[in-house]
Amino acid sequence: MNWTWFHKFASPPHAYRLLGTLRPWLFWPAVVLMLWAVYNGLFVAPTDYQQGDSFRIMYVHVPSASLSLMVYSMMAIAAGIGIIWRMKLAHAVAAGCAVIGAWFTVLALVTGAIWGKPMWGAWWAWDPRLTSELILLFLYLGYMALRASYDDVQRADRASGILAVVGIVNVPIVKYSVQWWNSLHQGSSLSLTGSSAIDPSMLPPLLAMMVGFLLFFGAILCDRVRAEILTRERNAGWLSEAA
Amino acid sequence: MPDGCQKLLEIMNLENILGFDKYAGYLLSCVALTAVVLVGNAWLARRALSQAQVKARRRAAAQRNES
Repeated sequence: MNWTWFHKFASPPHAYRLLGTLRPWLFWPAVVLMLWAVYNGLFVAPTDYQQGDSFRIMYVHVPSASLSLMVYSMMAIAAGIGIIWRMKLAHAVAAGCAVIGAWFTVLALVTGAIWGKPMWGAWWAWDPRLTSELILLFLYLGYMALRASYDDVQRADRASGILAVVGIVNVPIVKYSVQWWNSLHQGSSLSLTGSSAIDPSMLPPLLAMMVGFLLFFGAILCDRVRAEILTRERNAGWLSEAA
Repeated sequence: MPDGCQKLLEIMNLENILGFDKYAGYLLSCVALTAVVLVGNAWLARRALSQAQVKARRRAAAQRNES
C-alpha cells in the first residue's frame, strides 16, 4: 500500500496550508446547516406529545453530547498515533481537540441539566450517563492540565497522550451506560443499524444540526491545529515563508 | 402579502418566539448558551491562530534582520 499521502499530510507545512484551505469549506456550510436546523427545530418540528416543547432542547443537547464522545475518541486516537509513530502533527491534533471537546461536554451537561429540571424535577442526578459524562469532562480537563504542567513539549505530549489513550475506556461507558445500568436517562433516539425511536418529522433538523456541529468542529479544529503547528515549529525554516 | 413575508412576520412575532408552552425559558436559554459556546469557540480558535501568526511573523522578521 502506498503511504505517501499519509506522510505528506503529516508534514507540518503541508498540513498548515491544507487546513487553511479546508477551513472555509467546513465553516460556512456548518453555519447554513445550523441556522436551518435551529429554525426547523424550533418552529417547524411538531410538539412532542409527552414532553411538550421541552423536547426541542434535544436539537442542541444531542449533537453536543455525541460530539463530546466523538472528539474524545479522535483525541485519543491522535494521541495514540503520536505516541506510537512519534508524529508531531498527531499531538497537535490531539491538543486542538481537547479544548473544543471540553466545551462540547460542558454544553451537553448544562443543556441536559436544563432539560432535566422540567422533565425529572431536578437539575442533576447521579445517574450513570450523567456521571460518566462528567468524568469525560474531567478527563478533558486533566489532559489540558497535564499538558500545561510541562515546559518541554515532547514530555507534555507523551504524558497527556497516555492519559488520553487510557481515558478512552470511558467512551463506551458513556455510550452504553443507559443499556448496562438502570438509568434515568432515556435511551438513544437515533440508530445507525436499527430503526430510530424518533418520529421522522422531528428527524431532519436533528440530523442537520449534527452534521452542522461536526463541520463546525472541523472548522475550529483547523484553526486550533494551525496555531499549534505555528507554536511547535517556531524555529522551522518554512515558517518564514508561511508567515 | 407574499408567503415569505408572512412567514417572516410569524417568526418575528414575540408570541411565537416565547410561545413554547411553559418551557420557553428552558428552551431559549439552551439555544442562547449553545450560540455563545459556538461563537466563543470560533472566536477563541481564531484569536489563538492570529496570535501564533503574529509571533511567527515577528520571529521571521528578527531572523531576517540577524542575517
